[in-house]
Amino acid sequence: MAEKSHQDDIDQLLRGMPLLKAPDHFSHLVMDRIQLQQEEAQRHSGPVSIETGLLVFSLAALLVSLVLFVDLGFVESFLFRFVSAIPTYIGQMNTMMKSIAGVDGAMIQLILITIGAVSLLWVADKFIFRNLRTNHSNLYF
Amino acid sequence: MKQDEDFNCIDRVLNGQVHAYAQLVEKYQDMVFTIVFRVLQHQHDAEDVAQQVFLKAFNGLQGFNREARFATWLYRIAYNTAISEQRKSGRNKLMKHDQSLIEKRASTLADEEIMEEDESLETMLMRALAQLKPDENALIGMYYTQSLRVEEISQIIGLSVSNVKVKLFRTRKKLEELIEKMRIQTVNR
Repeated sequence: MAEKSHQDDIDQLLRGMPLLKAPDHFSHLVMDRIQLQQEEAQRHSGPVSIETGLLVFSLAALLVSLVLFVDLGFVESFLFRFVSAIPTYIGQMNTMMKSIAGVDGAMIQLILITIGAVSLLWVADKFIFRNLRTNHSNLYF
Repeated sequence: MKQDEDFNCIDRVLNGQVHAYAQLVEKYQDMVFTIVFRVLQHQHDAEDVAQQVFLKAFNGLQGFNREARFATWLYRIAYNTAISEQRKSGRNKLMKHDQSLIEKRASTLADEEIMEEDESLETMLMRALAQLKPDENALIGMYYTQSLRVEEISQIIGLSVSNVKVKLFRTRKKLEELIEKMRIQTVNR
């Protein structure tokens, strides 16, 4: 009997515990954070954002590097088998690169690959992962 | 009716009236803060995480399908965010019992003798609550302090209704055992 009354006392105390109060100006702080986030999102949006430009540039750079890097015979036989104009053009470009760089075009290829890779990483971090981070609350319900 | 008010607010926010979200924040801030604090047991962390919860909810408003109450959806975000934050920081500090809370409760009791007895029980209860695991502490808070229904709690913490009932029963038993131990220690002193 005493134990039951003891349990009831605990229940009563638990039910009587008030809600904790959020700190003063809590809603203002939240709204400020939302505003900041929106301002930042606006900076990153627009007709052509920096990220989109960089993404296109880095993809192009990587593509060119890849094409120059890969053995032209391989490219000709597999990728551009049916388009005769493209390998010729690539061949010309490679020759041009070699004549500009004077070191077999390898340095230019290396620079292009580095720029492309760094840009892609930067864009992925700022553009893709940021969206994943902010939108993962969608997973609930 | 309340739910309609929430949905109305959400519609306004989604239509670009961002300031309407402040109403939702003000309405639910104490509940969210209580859930988060019960898990993290740390004032500053709880403040920061509670803000994150409202930010996440704001970003996910478009994905809220309105099958559940907005409050339930929000509490679920609060619970999950707090639990994952707690796991990240690995912090399980002992909750310092809120003296003002005890005093407030005590002042409502008229009889001095009863007051003394209840005060000690309340102090022991606060200490026992601090020894619970974060999820147990949150569960007790949701059921008793926030008076949420078991069905709603099951949606928030992602367990079946029967599992929530079992967990509640075990946690309450654990609380009683902890208080009993404290009583014995007090008597033996």
